[in-house]
Amino acid sequence: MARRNRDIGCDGGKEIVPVSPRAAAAVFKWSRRLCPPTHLLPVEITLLAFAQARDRFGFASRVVTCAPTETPRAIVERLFPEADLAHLRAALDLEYTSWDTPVGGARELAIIPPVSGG
Amino acid sequence: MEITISFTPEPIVIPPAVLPSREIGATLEFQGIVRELEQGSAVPGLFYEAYEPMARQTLQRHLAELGARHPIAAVVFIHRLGWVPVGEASLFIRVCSAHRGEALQFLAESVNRLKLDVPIWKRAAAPGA
Repeated sequence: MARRNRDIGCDGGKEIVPVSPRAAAAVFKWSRRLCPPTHLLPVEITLLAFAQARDRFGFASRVVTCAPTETPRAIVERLFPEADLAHLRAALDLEYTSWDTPVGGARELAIIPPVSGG
Repeated sequence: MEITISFTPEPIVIPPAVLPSREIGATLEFQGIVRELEQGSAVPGLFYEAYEPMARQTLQRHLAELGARHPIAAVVFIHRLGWVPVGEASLFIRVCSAHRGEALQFLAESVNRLKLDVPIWKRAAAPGA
């Protein structure tokens, strides 16, 4: 049976209708499909390729959309299915990382070939 | 420890030797010169490129780590980018310390660290050439 707000001291004068736990769970599940958690929302990341990697992949810089849970390996292989990542390193926001670490909130992913400075 | 890192597209100009303190007993300078033979072939020069923000950050970390192991007072690091003709310097490093031992070890290891993972690359011709 519905209770009036004034009975339980709430503001607004709106009538509160209690729902069953089962119904509440169904609504929650449905809402998550429409509004996924923030950490699963697609993000944009700048993909950089240097030296031999630029030659191989044909670009120096491009913006790609990915999920934060996606790894550098998955992103590159999605864009370039024939990519051979042997001898290449990945860097996220200026720090070396493994090819299989999720990009998370990184803004920049670089493909780093063997270095030869000096 | 003072660390100065620079990248330049121009020929390297060796900066004036300003000693950081009156306790400096050794100053070492190193220049990496482009040689004519590159992987067995004669070249007119080399083209250098860098992922500059990451190169700077990585170098900073390496030089700070080396300074903790071989205490020095100051290091100046200059790397030239772009086309560098044979006979010209692509790299300049100056190390200042109280004693020569630390300076010699720091200098040698800093070049090794550079070649380990600092994102700088050379090639025999400019991209697209």
